[in-house]
Amino acid sequence: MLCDKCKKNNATFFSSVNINGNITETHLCENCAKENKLFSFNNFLAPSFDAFDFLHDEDELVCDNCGYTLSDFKDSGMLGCSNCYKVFRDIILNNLSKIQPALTHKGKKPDVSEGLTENEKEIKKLEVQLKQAVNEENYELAGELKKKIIALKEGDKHE
Amino acid sequence: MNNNDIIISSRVRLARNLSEQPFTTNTNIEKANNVLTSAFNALSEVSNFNLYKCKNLKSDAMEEMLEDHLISGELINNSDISGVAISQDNTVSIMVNEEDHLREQCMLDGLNLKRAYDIISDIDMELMTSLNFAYDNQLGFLTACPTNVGTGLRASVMMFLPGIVLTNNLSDMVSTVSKLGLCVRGAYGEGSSASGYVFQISNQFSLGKTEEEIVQLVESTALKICDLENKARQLLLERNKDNLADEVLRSYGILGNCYKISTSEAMELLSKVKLGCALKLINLKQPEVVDELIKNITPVKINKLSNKNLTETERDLFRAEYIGRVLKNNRI
Repeated sequence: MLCDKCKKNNATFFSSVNINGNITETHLCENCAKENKLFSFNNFLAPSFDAFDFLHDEDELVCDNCGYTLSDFKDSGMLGCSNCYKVFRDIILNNLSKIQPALTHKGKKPDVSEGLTENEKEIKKLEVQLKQAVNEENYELAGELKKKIIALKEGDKHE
Repeated sequence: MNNNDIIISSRVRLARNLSEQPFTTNTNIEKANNVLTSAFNALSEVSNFNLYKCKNLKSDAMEEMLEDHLISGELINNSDISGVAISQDNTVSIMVNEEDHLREQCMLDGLNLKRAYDIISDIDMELMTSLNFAYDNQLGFLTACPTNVGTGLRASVMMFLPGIVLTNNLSDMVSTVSKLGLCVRGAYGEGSSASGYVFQISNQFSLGKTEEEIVQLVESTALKICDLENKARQLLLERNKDNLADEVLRSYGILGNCYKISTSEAMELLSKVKLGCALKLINLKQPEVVDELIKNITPVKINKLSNKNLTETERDLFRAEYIGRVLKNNRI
């Protein structure tokens, strides 16, 4: 079906409004939909990739942790792992500046783990697994986990 | 008229990812299963959730959870690796291996965003004692899609807005709301058409404001839209009462007397009856039965009500009989 507005491109956006039985149907192509207020909110959510343009002739960036490439990011709008935020940082910040009111997080922080050492975090994690193993009556695993926890706690004392 | 006729429900969700694992979009079965196991272990510590692995759920059960907004279509698409934890009262659901490792959400009736945020935030804090969430000092909580980064929060209010639609004010409302950094969608998520005059109002940005500021903005905007909706309904009554009453009563007449009816036709007619009840053009013993009917007429719910696996035609017959019976029992 052709776009109701430009009559040139295929219509990909569809809306139907029923007013006292009079149904008004609108079919628009992507370009005309962008200009139409009713559809503006849909487009706002799609990440804008204008920021990639300057990179076309440069070497492909690759995340050294997960192997995700800049092309993967560009194609899907998604990142591969938390390390991608370091590798593609400039591009991400450039994109975010167009859709976010500010570029610094003001909200809640994971305080719970912030003050803990890596050892203490590991102990907490193992304790959760231990409870789970006991619940599942997997006493062999529970025994192993308990030994690990004791060893880590001993390690803490010697530090 | 009051806001209860307009605001259906409030929902807050937080997107979180485990720091050491690749995001769901870039994972393999083994790593995804590690995420599922870690998340379920942590969740079983926090509260008495019912835990379901999607691969063990029947498709009907998943469809019902989807209709009840407990899970998303994307979670079903990932059913070989995904799971969900649901609270005993069905107000909290935590999806695992959706777009993000965890999508923690709380949904409450009416305008209740602050309480929904408090509930889900407490659960989130508890989860953080055993799970290491991906977090960056500048960007906050890291998400698979950068548009959710920061708070990872989306606060949304589901609203019934026939007055704004019928007075042709929808596109103005949408453009005003989008200037505030919020967006309006059809009730059934991204890309869905707005059926039954039901819309979701939610924040588009997630970074640079606190969770409380975002919740406050969505809540105050929802209240302003309520005022607009009430004014639009008043205007409809003043200028077009005869036509409106005729439309509402015809809808009521069809619903009460038809022999078979599809989900979409029933949904459209019930929305008009719901408007009629709010404007006192129809009096039912318990107007809230209309909301119950709207929830219960989908194919999955009709199959459940009938205790059978009906064909589409059989469902249309059952639906017509069911709606007719409920409306007849509520006639004054």
